[in-house]
Amino acid sequence: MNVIIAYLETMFSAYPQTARLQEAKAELQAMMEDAYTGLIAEGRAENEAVGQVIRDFGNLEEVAPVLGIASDISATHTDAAAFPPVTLEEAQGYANAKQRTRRRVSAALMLFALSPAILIVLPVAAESGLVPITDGIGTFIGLMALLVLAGVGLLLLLAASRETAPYKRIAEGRFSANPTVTRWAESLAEQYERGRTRALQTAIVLAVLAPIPTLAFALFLDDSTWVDFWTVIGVVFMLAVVAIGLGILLPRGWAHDVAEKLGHSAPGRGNRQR
Amino acid sequence: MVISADAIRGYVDLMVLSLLRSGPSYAYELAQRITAISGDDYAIKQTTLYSAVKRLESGGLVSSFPGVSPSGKPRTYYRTTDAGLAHFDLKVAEWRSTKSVVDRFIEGATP
Repeated sequence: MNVIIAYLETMFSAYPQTARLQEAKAELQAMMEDAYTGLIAEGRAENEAVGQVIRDFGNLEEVAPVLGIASDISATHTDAAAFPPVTLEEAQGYANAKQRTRRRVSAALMLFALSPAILIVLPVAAESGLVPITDGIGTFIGLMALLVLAGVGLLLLLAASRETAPYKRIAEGRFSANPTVTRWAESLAEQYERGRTRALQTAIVLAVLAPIPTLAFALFLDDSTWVDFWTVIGVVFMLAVVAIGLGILLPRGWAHDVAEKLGHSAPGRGNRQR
Repeated sequence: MVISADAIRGYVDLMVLSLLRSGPSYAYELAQRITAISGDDYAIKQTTLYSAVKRLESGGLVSSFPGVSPSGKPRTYYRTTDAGLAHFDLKVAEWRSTKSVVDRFIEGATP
């Protein structure tokens, strides 16, 4: 329901808040709320109900004459790109796929970030006698771990890309923007914006804290025989923090990314002549 | 066959007035009833219905009054005026002759 209210808000936000417009907004909102409640009662999923209500809404151009704002609207339909406009169904499918696959994608990137960790630590640990193996074996185990982690990450990305494959033209920007879809996507992004902002703040704090151990070990252990080992531990700690940061940020950024993608079609390529 | 919004635009007023003859109603219910009666042939956009109702109101063909929904929400109700009823009869007559003229071309027969 919040998406619907946000959608109406953005529709009307471009116009002066006259009493007549306020009244129209309130009545249209009541109509949309009723429609939404009706669809939910029919057993539709929330996402589906929201999409249906927005699809059935129509556009303000039609209401403009009765509201006396006719001259203000109507400039939005001149976007004549060669690519067909993105439809709300496509956009919703794309957003759903992005939402479904967000954990897989972030897990894959976390694995990529962590994949060299063992390769970095083990040979140094072996050299300093902490583990009873030779450097060679340490390097070999490290390489194996890197390949396995990167391989699992690739498999996860592949699985995710299979789900977003039907929406390839959106991912590649081969569509022209559709004002209804853009507004819907902005409302969606707004709904998830608070979580994204918080994740972004956490990730920034982590990024600032990440190099501290490495710096501390380098500065305080300068005469110790363990300096190599601890420096390496510091590097691995940094990798882990990067991975955690990705794990926090990526799953919360999908709605924002979807809105960015849907708002920016590729006009340059769209104008190509046949 | 789905009817285009352009084809039916001139007759949304007639539909609204027809529904309001049986008693006052509010915008969402009007849209629901139009969609239910039309089956899959025509789904009215909420903005189309809203502008039709407002146009009728400013023309004095329907009047509005504040009401409350069963769940307690404030809601604007509409009812036809006498002018609205007269306009309805006029629109019905107009539709009959429109239909008959168009039919003559479709049948391809001379009257």
